[in-house]
Amino acid sequence: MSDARHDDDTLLRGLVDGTLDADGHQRLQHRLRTDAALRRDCRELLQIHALLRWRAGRATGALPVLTVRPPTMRSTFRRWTMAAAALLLLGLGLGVWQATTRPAAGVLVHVLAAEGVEADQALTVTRSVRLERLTVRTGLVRLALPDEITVDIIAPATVAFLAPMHLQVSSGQVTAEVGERGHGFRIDTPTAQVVDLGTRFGVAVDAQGRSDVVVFKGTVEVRSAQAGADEVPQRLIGGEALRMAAGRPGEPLQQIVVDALNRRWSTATTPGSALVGTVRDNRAILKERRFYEVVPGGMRAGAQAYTAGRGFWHACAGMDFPAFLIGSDAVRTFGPFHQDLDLAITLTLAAPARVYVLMDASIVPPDWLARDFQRTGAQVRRDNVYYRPTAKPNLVPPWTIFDVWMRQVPHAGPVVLGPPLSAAAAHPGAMYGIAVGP
Amino acid sequence: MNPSTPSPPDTSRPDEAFVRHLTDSQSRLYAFIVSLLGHADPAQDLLQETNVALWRKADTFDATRPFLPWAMGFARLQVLAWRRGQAGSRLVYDDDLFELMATDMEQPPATPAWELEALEVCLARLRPEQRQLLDRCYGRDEAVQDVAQDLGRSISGLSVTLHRLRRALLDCVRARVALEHQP
Repeated sequence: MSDARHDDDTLLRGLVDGTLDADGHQRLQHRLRTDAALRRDCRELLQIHALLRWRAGRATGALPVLTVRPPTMRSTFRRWTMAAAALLLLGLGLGVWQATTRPAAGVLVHVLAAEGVEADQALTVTRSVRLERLTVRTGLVRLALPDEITVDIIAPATVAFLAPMHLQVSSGQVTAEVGERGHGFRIDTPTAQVVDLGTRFGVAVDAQGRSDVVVFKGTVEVRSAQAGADEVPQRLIGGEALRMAAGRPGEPLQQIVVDALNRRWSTATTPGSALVGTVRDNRAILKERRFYEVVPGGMRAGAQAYTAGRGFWHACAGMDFPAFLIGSDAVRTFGPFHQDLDLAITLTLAAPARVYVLMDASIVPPDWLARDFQRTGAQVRRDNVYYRPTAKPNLVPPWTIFDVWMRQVPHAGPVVLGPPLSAAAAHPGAMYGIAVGP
Repeated sequence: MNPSTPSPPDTSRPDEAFVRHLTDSQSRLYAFIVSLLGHADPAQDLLQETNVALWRKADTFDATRPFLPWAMGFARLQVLAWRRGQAGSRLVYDDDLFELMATDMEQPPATPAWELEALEVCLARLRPEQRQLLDRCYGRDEAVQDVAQDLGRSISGLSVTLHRLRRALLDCVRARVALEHQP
């Protein structure tokens, strides 16, 4: 390889790795402008890089009708094995759900926490116990399973421990956090099979047997419990949720209520919030599966800004976090909505309240905000998820500044918030945040 | 003060053919976005927004014409909008180079676009330890420095190895695609 080609290759390597310094960046741009073959190499190397990420499930296409699943050799094999298993079970006259209720040998778990717990078995914190089945009548139990799996079981719940990597939830709510070694961890419910691909997710089964599957971080695959051989699993990523009911396709869930520590959550309509009733937007027609998180009393410095954990609210440099925001209900929106010119979010308030919108200070406020809200003069800032302190060149600044706008709403009922930018905006800003206080 | 009125939702549903086109093009659109950005960071979000835009404009698609170039136009707009939001920050491509890269990709390709199936075949030809290395760095999202430390290798050395693997896959995919489209 000639020196010139070697230099080009080094520059391309730095680009794909994200390690190119400022000088290398300038040289690469110069070379790309003048060399069509190098441009082809550049884009096709990036495309190979992208397809490797796609194949590994690091990106997915979530479409209104179904989820596109990267067709990999491994996934094809898994589909064949599951299809074969389904055919065998059908041949025996058994459904997948029934087949998994055979008695299990039990799993050795370590009790990490037991808060206000009444259960059918003795659970002592820091002790291990072998469980085949656990019914928790009150409280929260946190268990460590083998292979870097932690589960929170929130009462009332009944869980069967079929294998170290396989639980069955008959009723109630379970949240799982799965580390590297736990890939493939599976939770069955009466209406769904959820397979973890490296994530934090939860399932909740209600009295009617419907299963809510909520992904907070990472990726899971979901199939109906009555899945046929041809059913392609749906893949959910962080910030997405589905409700699975027998004989029906999964339906999106637009709203999850969580506590400030992200430990307890509910898909019921704001059982803990006195102010925010419901949160809905006009993107539901697209059958999006992203959800809003309502955090009663959760707004404070360090609060999570968006669902799927992207960015946190902080006080601006040299200033205190606005006191009037602290303790208000936080509504976590979704960062990627920041370019949606047609977005409309409807908050239904349960009582008179003050609605706060945290709007990117770098853009002209959209018309609906300037018309219906007042600028408070307070500001907060949010860390930028794409900021890389060591990246060269640095693509994004570390912080985005937000102005706090307020509207006094004298009655319970709907409040509509519009798009995060005007049609005439020179460029989009960050997605706005929402808080509701007394 | 009156609340603003949202746009009435579009209740029409694209037909099955459109859905099939959209589904089949996801990996290509993602790869297109990454190559326009010069990196992968916001590509997932931009793909989602592209899908929303395509879904909303489905009734404007001319089914007698190829789907992918039309869809790429929407993806390009999403990337452009994202670039505008980065004003004041340094982008991988300046505006002129971006237009050049985007134009290159939207012309009819000399060779057909990448296929995941070709990539699978080429991956199968790698040695097991090479596939394992790619699996660690892509499938498990381990940082190159962590993998290097674990393997007892230098970061630069491992980076060179990964680049050579990507190069090898690129050459293999090009050869395979060319072979499949010989007259």
